Parts: sequence; C-alpha cells; structure tokens
Amino acid sequence: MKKFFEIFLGILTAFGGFVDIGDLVANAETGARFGMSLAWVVVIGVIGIVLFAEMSGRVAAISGRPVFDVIRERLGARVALADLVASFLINFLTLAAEIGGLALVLQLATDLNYLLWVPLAAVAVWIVIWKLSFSLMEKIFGITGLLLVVTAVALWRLDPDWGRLLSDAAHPGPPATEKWPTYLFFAVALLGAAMTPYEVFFFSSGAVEEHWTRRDLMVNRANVYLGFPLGGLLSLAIMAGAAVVLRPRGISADHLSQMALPVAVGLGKVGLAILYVGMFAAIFSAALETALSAGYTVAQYLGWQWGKYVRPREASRFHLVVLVSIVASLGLVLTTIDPIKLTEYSIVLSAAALPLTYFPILVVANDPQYVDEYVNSRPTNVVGFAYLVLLLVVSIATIPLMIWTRVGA
Amino acid sequence: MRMRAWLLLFLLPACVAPARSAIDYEHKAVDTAEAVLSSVETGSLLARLSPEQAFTPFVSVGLSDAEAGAASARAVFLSLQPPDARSDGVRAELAPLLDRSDDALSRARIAARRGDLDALTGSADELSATAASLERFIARFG
Repeated sequence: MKKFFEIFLGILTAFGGFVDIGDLVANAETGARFGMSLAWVVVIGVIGIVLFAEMSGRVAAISGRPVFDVIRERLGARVALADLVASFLINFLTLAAEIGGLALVLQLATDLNYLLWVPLAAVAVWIVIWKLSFSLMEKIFGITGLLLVVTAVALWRLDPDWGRLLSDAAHPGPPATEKWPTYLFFAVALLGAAMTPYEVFFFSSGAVEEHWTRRDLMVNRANVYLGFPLGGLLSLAIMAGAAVVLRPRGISADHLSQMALPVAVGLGKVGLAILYVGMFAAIFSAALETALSAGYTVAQYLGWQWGKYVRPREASRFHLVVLVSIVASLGLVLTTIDPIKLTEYSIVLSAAALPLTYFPILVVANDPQYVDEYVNSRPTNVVGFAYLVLLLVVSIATIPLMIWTRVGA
Repeated sequence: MRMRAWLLLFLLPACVAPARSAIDYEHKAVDTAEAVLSSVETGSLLARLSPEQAFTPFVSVGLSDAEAGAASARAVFLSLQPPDARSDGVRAELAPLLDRSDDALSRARIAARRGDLDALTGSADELSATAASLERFIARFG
C-alpha cells in the first residue's frame, strides 16, 4: 500500500511539475498563431522526454549515480565539459526565465510591476532550496502545479468545436497566413520546451537524492510513462485554449496576461485564481529544479559532494553554485529584459543543444558497467537513435531558422 | 572577435531592417497593423470581461501590456522611412489608426484602474471599431 501511494504521488508530482514557463509560452504562442497544427510536436517532445528520462532514471537507480557523473567517467572530461557548458548556459537562461515568470504571475495578481517581485521570487527560491527537504519541496510544488488542470477545464467550458480542433491537429502544416520557416521555427521552440535538458539532469539527480535502487525502477517507469504524458496533455490544453480564444481574434500570445485569457473567458474569477496558484507552483517548481540542476551539473562534473540529502556544510560548493546561479539569474532579469522573450530564447537555444544532452544518456544507458542487465532494449535503441538523428537535424536548423524568421516574428 | 560575431548573430534577428521598396514598406505596414490588432483585440476582450469574470489587477495588467505592445509596434513603424510617394499614402492611412488604437487602449487602461465600468464598456466599443478598421487595412494591403 505504501509503495502504491508512493508511485501515485510520484505520478502526480511528475504530472504537475511537467509544465514550466517555457511550456506555457510555447504552447500559448503556437496555439494563438497556428491553432492545433503543431500539436504533433508536443506528442514527439513528450515521447522524447519520456524515453530519455526513463533511461536517466534507470541509470541512477541501478548505478546509484546521476547521469552527469557517469557521463564524465564514460565519455571523458572533454565531451562532458562540452555538455556541461551548453547545459549550464541554457539552464541559466531557463532559471532566469522561470524567476521572471514567477514575477509576471505575481504582477498579474497584484498589478505591481514585475520588477518589484523579481528579487522576492529569487529569494523565495533560495530559501525553499535551503530549508525544505528534497522530497517535500518536489511534492508540494509539483502537486500544487496540478491546479493547471484548470486550463483543460476552461477549454471544456468554452465548448469548442472538438472536431475542428482534432482536424487541425491531424493536418500538420502552416495556415495560409503563415510561412513554412516560421511554422518550423515554432516547431523547434515547442520541442525545446518539451525536452528541456534540465529535466533529465534533475530527474536523475533526484533519483539519487531519494536513494532509488533497482527496486524503484517501477516508480521510475510510472513517473515517466504516466506523469509526463499527463503533463503533455496540459500543454495541449493550453495550446487548444489559445487556438479557441486568441486565434480567431488575431491575438498573439506575447504576454502572460494574454495567455491567461482563455481561462478568464471560460471560468471567470475562480478559474483565474486557480490558474494563478497553478502557474506560480508549476513555475516555482521549475525554478527550484533549474537552480538545483545548476549545482548538480557543476558539482557532478567536478566531483564535488552534492545534493540535499547531505547537510549543506558537507556540500557547500554545490550550494554556492546554486546560490550564485540564482543571483546571476536575478541580475539578468533585473536588466529589464522581457521575461517572455528570455523564455523564447531559452527554449529555442535548448533545442539547439539537445543532442549534447541526449547522446551521452543513450550511450550510458547501453553500458552494462552502469546498468547491469538493464541496458536498453533493441526497440528502445531504435527509437532513441531515431530521436538523436531528429535532434541533430533540429540542432543544425535552429540558428538559421531563428535568423531567417527573426525569432518567429 | 569570435565573441563579437556570436553576439551579432543573436542580436541580428531583433533588428528592424529599413524598407527598401514600396512592397517591402507595405509588408511592414501590414505586420504592424497585425501586431496592433492583436493588442486592440486583447483590449476589447479584456474590457468586455464582467467584474465577475476577472480581477481588476488582471484587466489592468492586460490592458497595460496591450498598450505597451501597440505603442512599441507604432514607434517602430513610424520610425521607418517611406521609400516613395506610394508609401507616403500607406503611412498616411495607417498612422491615424495606430494613434486611435493607442488612445483607445490608454482610455481603457485608465477606466479599468479607476473601476469606471461605464467608461470601460465605452472603450470596448471604441476598440472594436478600431479593430474593424485595422482589419480592413490588413485586407487591403495584406
């Protein structure tokens, strides 16, 4: 019974913690501009993150070591350093975007300028990391993030033409008013949002924090096979809400206030209040994950003691990296850079760096030295390899598409 | 040197190139009209939300965002040099619409912050009329 409850809680946490500011922005923007014609990218992104998160969770459960630690040992310091630099920079941008996103949610609720909230949001993230246990922190914010289900309820209340939405989703391709390069650019952004690198680093480090062993492989599978796809449904609900409310009016989702409009129209004040709490929790959860991931990747690469499962004094350098990352992110957001634009850049650059994150995981998940007999099955390898080819193509195309479309303008 | 090249690569997409021909200028005018239409429609939708549907800060922030979005698009377009006499005509047609949008969004934002529901409803009608004019402009030149 205890195991069942643990699995259930894990699924809920993965479900509620799936959506972050990147998913909110990417899905609302694409829904407003392209309707549901990019829904297939969310499906591809969710399958990809399920595939690689399962591998990284399995490596951590069997070897008792997080993937970054293993990557350095298995692929050497140079390859791991390239991975570290790319992941750390993108993670830093993502953390800044999450902190900015938190401030934007607070601005929506209070009408006080978001810049006033930015320092408070950053301090709150650091205090929670410092004070709360890993498990409690993950569950409180992950499960509260489940309130984002309100986007799906609002969609249902809006009573859309479901046949039309499904038909749009089944017919990929840009609408008449849009060009192929812009369509592909947004596809890249959606993929980057769904497969953000920090998710796998956090997931595997979290497995070590929670002392997973091979007996927890079931928890790992339940989290990724059920929790992540359910989170993907939330992404689709956000996209559909924008397609129903914003697109017919020619409204593009450039601000968080526009992204919240479908819920306001569908459910009114109660829905909005729930949305505020859900967005805050989901983005806060992502801010914690990215801040910790900064510490995880650096500490694991350099062989320092890391984690919240030891006392801060024993992992002081890890905590210092986390703190410095939060302070630097705070500084970046306080330059008054638009947090939504920052989010757009972070997810697109994530897409460009995806092969650097996922190739090493595929290698390690096939090495019996780390996973014993739990190496990837042949079908997993076939799909994993196909994903790597796709991610490589996406990575090569990202920067040219960004320039060609003027960041999707 | 390499750092500068990378910086240029990332900043380049954010730049607005000058309009070199009348066609190019028209494209930019339509892009601007679409961006402002998005703000105006947002304002119209927000102004029509009843007090039971949305909190005052939400409406206020939304209108403020819409106003800033419209003002930014307007400023960029008006800074463009029209390349010929035909483009002067396009500018003369769009500029008053952009001004109207800006004014209507400002009035809606002021009404929302004062909690003046009658004025807000009036702004919603004004925004709808402006949106219709922008749509006509887009249909003509788009």
